[in-house]
Amino acid sequence: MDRINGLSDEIICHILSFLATKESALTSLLSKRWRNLFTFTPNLHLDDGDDELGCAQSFIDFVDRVLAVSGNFPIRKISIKCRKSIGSGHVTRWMNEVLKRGVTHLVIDVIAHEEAFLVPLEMFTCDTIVELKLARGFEAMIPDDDHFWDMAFDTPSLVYLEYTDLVPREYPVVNLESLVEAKLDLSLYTGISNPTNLIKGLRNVQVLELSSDRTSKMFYEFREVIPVLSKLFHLSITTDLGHYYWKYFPILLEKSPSLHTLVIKGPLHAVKCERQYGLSCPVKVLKITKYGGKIEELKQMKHFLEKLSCLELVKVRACAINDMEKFQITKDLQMVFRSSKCNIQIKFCEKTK
Amino acid sequence: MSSNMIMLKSSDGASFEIEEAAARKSKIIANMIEVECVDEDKAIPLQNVTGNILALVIEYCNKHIVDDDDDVATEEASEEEEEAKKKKVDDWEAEFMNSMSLETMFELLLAANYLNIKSLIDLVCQTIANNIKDKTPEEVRKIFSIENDFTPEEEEEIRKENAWAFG
Repeated sequence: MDRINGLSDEIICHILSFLATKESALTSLLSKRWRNLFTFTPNLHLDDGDDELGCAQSFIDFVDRVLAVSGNFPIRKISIKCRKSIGSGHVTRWMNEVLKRGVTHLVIDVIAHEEAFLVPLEMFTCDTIVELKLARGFEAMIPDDDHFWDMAFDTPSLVYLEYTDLVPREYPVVNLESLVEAKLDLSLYTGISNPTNLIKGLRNVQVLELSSDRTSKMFYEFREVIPVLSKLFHLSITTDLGHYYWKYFPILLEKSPSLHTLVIKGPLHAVKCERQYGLSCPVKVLKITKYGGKIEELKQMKHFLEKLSCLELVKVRACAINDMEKFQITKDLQMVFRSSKCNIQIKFCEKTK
Repeated sequence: MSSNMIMLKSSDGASFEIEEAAARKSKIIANMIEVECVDEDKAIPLQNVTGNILALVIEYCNKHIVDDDDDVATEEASEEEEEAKKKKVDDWEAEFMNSMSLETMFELLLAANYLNIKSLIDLVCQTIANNIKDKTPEEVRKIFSIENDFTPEEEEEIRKENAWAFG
């Protein structure tokens, strides 16, 4: 048998779908038969790597060509990652194209250099999309100069969501029934934005990350509408030292009767929990990703260990410049009063400066 | 658990006995069983699969039937147990694929495709894809005996149109 030539185009495309598109594209050079086969795959994985320097034109040309050559071939999963500067228009064009071709998993990780990337509104009413991850710098494509816009968020199949946006005046329709994981970075247009229906729509999430201080501000301002998050198991918050809106935090904990793991990314002492948590706060695992050993941080640590009565494990990632500091941090943390069943694990990372 | 046995017959006339549950990994065979084309005393003839390849297919199906059965029971199993189990299957699969030549791999893929065994198709495709990874076009051509039918000018053109990938 003539090895791989005995296989149908369909199977060869299936083999190629197990490779990143950059790798599978190299097979275009094998023979005439192979020239365009790599574009006919339901899974496109387009990763330009971490290099920020240089021009993205050859990447843009490549993505355009792959989408053009494969015509109407269905695209299920597509991920696009690029660190170089890409104009918003390209990204919007790609989103429109894959929407037409029935995309179910869309992950775009690009950096907005000047303007935000505009997301076609159809994305938010797509009933087949399962995974939608738009990291940083995205905004729904609302009509120009319209400060009073509404936006439907009707995605019944959506399971994984990473969403950045300026909250509209209203989300008149929200369907996030299948949503399991959400990472949100939302900001308010003061006096106009109203995220009520979106927040209520989160009631089925199991994993939630609030990845900016402005999202926290939003949750604080709309704390009255936070539903009971009965399935919430894993909560991450990203704090910021400037003016962190920590007041929503105890409220969120109260609404999360199944919470198991709490992760605090960013400075710990930004979270000032003066309020009592209910005795039933069930958090068992607390992870602190950026611990510097300052007095305020230690104070906050004591507070957590005292108030979160069900804690079994505290994982701390601490930064220290030398062994002395490591020793001090370890000693301080071990001294903090806690229940006998609670373990503390400390891991050090080197300080960069 | 019922252990209904059925017979399969390869293109070169070899007969194999296999548990019905294992044979059902093949959508084609499952379908034949559903519509009762299977006579208990008669072997199912598989015209496109030789004996040595069918033996591999059966080895794979037997190995994986157990895992599917466990699915219901292990819902409560801990994460570590799940992981350990998955690792065991992965190790077995790696060993299984490692033991065969590329030639056999292609024949196995054709058989899996013909019998419609999705997980086996994926396993073989993944392994072949790993064989392509990190190799120059020239090396890949050699491995798969592909003849280069491009002129140097055409090659140049392709390098240009996919410049990003060749960069």
